[in-house]
Amino acid sequence: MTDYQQLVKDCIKGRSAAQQKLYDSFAEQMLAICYRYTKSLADAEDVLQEGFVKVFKYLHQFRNEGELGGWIRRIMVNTAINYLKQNSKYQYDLSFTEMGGLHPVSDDNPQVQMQAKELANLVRQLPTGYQTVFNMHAIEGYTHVEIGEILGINEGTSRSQYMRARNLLITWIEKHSSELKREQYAGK
Amino acid sequence: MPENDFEKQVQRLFDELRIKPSENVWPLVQNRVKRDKHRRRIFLWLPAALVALVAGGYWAIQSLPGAAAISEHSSTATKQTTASSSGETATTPSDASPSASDIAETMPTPPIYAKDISKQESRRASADGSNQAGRPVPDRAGGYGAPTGGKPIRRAGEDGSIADEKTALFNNTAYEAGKPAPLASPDKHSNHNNMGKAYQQPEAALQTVAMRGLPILYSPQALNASSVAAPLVQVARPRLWEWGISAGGGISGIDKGSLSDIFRFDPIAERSDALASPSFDAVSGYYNQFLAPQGNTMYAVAPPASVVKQDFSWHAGAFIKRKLNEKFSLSSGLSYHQYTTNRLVGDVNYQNTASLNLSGSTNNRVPRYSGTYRIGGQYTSRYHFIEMPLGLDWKVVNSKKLPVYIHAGLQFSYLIATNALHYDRKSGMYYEDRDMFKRFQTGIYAGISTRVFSGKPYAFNIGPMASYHTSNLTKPVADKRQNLVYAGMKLQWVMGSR
Repeated sequence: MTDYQQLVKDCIKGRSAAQQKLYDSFAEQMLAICYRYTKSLADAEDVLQEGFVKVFKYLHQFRNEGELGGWIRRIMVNTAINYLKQNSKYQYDLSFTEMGGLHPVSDDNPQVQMQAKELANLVRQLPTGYQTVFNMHAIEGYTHVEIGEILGINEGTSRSQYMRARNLLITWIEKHSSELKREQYAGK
Repeated sequence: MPENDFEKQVQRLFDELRIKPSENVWPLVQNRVKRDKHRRRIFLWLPAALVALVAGGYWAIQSLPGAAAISEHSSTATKQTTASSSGETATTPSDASPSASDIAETMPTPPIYAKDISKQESRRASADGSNQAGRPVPDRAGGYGAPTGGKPIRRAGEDGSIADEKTALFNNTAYEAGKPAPLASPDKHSNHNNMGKAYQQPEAALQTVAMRGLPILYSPQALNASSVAAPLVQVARPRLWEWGISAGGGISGIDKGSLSDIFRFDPIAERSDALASPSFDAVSGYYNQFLAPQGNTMYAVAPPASVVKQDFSWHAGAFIKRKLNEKFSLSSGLSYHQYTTNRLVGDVNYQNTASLNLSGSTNNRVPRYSGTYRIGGQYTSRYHFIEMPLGLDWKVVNSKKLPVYIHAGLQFSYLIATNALHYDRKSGMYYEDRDMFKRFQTGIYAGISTRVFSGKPYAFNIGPMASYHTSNLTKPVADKRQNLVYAGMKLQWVMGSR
């Protein structure tokens, strides 16, 4: 029996020390996920809190076949999406109002020369709809059909939102890279 | 899964990302987990608690002086018949005014285009999460969107994570997985504890506040914590009142004052006991149950009354609730409630002709009686009440989807009409007499319900409830104690709230 299996068993039994150990093991990784979906660290922590409550509530349903981290991650993503849907602050921005036809697909594949947290902050500056679809497709790997079902939008809408988000991000990343080069040049 | 390089790079970067949560998250999680565990225990103990509640209420009523002793009666029937057969808006105080960065976070963000990038970059200095003061925040106890009345739960610099986030942004410092972001300058970091100073960072030359889609440019000098104009923030007032219509159905019966009849569901067996064959008592020399001595004369006695059986009962009316706090509400209403019982009645033809003289010889003491007891049919007694409950609703499960409430309280009833029968022991007759009923009744009720489609226009509460009339149904002149009992399902349609 692996350490995690024993930990899960102890958590199911309601042992507080085991629960805290599980939380400590995954909290930082999961907060990073919540952070990408929300607009503020406080909201991300709310999602984290809600997510871990669900984790402990449904831990008995976890089959030891898969990876515990992956299972917790799915819970966090679902919790984050529900949070966006329920929180009035995000509802308007998550309405996926179409602003015209499909956005032209960008073939740009720039080298992302920035730190993870900087990139996360760029993603968080996207409108919530773009941000959510980008996170779900590019990082979580959901298909546009799945995203459409989860968010209650058309597959096409998801696709166009993603492309807009991607183009916007690429523009920002390129801008960031050029500024960085300028700074390095000025520094020399 | 996208096969694109860009997506792969992004995935790889984000896999490394770790953000340390603030210290207060784990205690909140722990409290919620404990509370959930506590709720599950409540569900296990709820049936026992309900029984205890009803029994306790009954005991309390019974302990009241004068409630217990009702004399055995000699009935004076006035009418004898032989039975044949229930956004306003408010402004927050000035201390609740959000900072510029808060406004940017709380207002809907318009799509960002390339021309806005320079603004976005300057905005990054006051990036997300830098200050949460005064913004409406989710309820950490579980509910979202609950206004905090302007009370900030976290300010810039309260936890290291926020400061780290900003430091990383200002300085483009590397964020290493699992470690706190390194600080380029301790002075800068300490400045982040102060909102006004934070805006004096050289990188943050201009702050863009997106409000209602219109960018407004502020100079850093104009933006300090004290001089930021306090825009009016609309805060939805919690809905305190709730009303709607209610209806329900179940079983009602008569209890003989001991609560024992509530759990008796085999009235037929009792009835057959009551009508058991008379046994001859050799000592007294008369047939038990059928003959009673009075002086020197033996009288034939009437058979015992038939058992009152439970029957279908229903109620319909309106309710109103006033929220006291997150957990408790006062509830009341007005409803019509029809209690129904039934019993077997028949044509009784008994004659007091079985008298004999006990002074005679042994042979003469053989009793003689005459009479017939023919089972007629079922008679349905209906009690029409107007009821007004007054009680407390306790939200025991604070779920958004299926909240669970426990209700308990007092019930005031007025008997508007009835066709119920009384029984005269002497004559063995069933008869109607409305004057023998108490018009005003008091009682207790308890129940449990869950709210279905919570938050939707067609939300309703449904669950079982039980009530017990602690008042005697009949006046003291009647032969014995009778209490109405009801158990059934109750449905409340929430039609409005304010």
